[in-house]
Amino acid sequence: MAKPTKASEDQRLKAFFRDAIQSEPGIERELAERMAERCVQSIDNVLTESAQRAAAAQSEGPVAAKSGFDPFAFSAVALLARKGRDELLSRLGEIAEPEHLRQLANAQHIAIDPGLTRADELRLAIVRGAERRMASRRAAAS
Amino acid sequence: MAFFLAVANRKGGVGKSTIAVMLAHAFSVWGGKRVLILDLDSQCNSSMILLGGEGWVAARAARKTVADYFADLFEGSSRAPRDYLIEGVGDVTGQDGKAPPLSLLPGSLLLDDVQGDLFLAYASKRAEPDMGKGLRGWFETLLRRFDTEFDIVILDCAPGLSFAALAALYTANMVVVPFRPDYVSLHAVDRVALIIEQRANLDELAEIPLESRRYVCLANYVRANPRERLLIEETSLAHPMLATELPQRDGIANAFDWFPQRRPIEEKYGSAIEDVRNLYEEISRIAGR
Repeated sequence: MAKPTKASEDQRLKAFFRDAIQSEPGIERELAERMAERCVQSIDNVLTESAQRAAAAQSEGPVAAKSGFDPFAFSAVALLARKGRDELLSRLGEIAEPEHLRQLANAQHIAIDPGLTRADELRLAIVRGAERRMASRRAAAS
Repeated sequence: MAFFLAVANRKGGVGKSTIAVMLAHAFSVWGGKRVLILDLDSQCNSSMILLGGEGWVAARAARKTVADYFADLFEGSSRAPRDYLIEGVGDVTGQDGKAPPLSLLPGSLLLDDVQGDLFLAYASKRAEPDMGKGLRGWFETLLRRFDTEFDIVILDCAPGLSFAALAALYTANMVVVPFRPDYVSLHAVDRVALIIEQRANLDELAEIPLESRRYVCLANYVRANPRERLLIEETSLAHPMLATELPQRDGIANAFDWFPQRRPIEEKYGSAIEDVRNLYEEISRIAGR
């Protein structure tokens, strides 16, 4: 027997919903078809989004899950561009753990010296790294 | 007067043709607009999506391609521009169950060669200081010839900067710039924005308020990934961004197989139909159409 494909599974699900909907009195087949199609689409969207969230959590999330720290909570580059250096430093000041600062830099692709260990050094390095990233973008677009 | 909507990015693989076709379907089916797609990319993706392989081969045999259009009119042909178009393309039905008012000037594999030949021919006949600008202006004139017969003209641009692509960018009332949320695309968006607004760098570009720009960016192939969110935000620091984002979804990927039988747009796009509707409604609002 042929392995079921996504299309054949969708058809089977659609038929299931159509029959269930049509069992209600007064619902015509055409309307039942449309409602069944909408149900299958909605399920597909929910499943796709769940799978993407799961994949994202697997690829990006272990660090956050383990430590409770979210290295994506804000964008260092965007904060620097919108609010300036002091505001970024202030926000980084709310992160006490050097390991968390390293995680943020790593997650946001901000290059810092791997030898740095103190939180204040790491914060300054992140600001400089974000500035370099912006300068690099400006240079590439000229 | 038609509204000229270009879909462009110098980077390939960002979904230009699929978005051009999506918008063409939406405007013609839901908006009831007379829509024309000009396939200006020698990859001919939008032609394949709208005609299928055999239909596209037939168009080439009938000399109904964008390369034929440009070459013939350069030679002074009296063939009417409308004669190069194929009407009632695509595989969706309109609200009335019939073919929607969607036409296509099919793409050609020879478009890049033809542009090179036309440049040489143009340069041999004239003595202008900037031949490229002159030829580009001539292409702009040809693109505008469809002005009165359609409500929306969608220009599906090639990734490279050909004369036709530049003419499309300068002709367009609005340019949609699809991009993938990755680092390379960030730079590609910067570069195409500078070309559209004719600015030399991002500092000059920043002098134009975001709401006054002629282009708007569209994040495509978006996954629920926090790293991508940061890249979209980083891109938006310098560019106007549509609220609509297109996710990486089966419904979109599967919608571009050409079917010989027409079907309702809802059936064609399946799980992606709400994405298409959101994109259409937002573009429609911005374009005032």
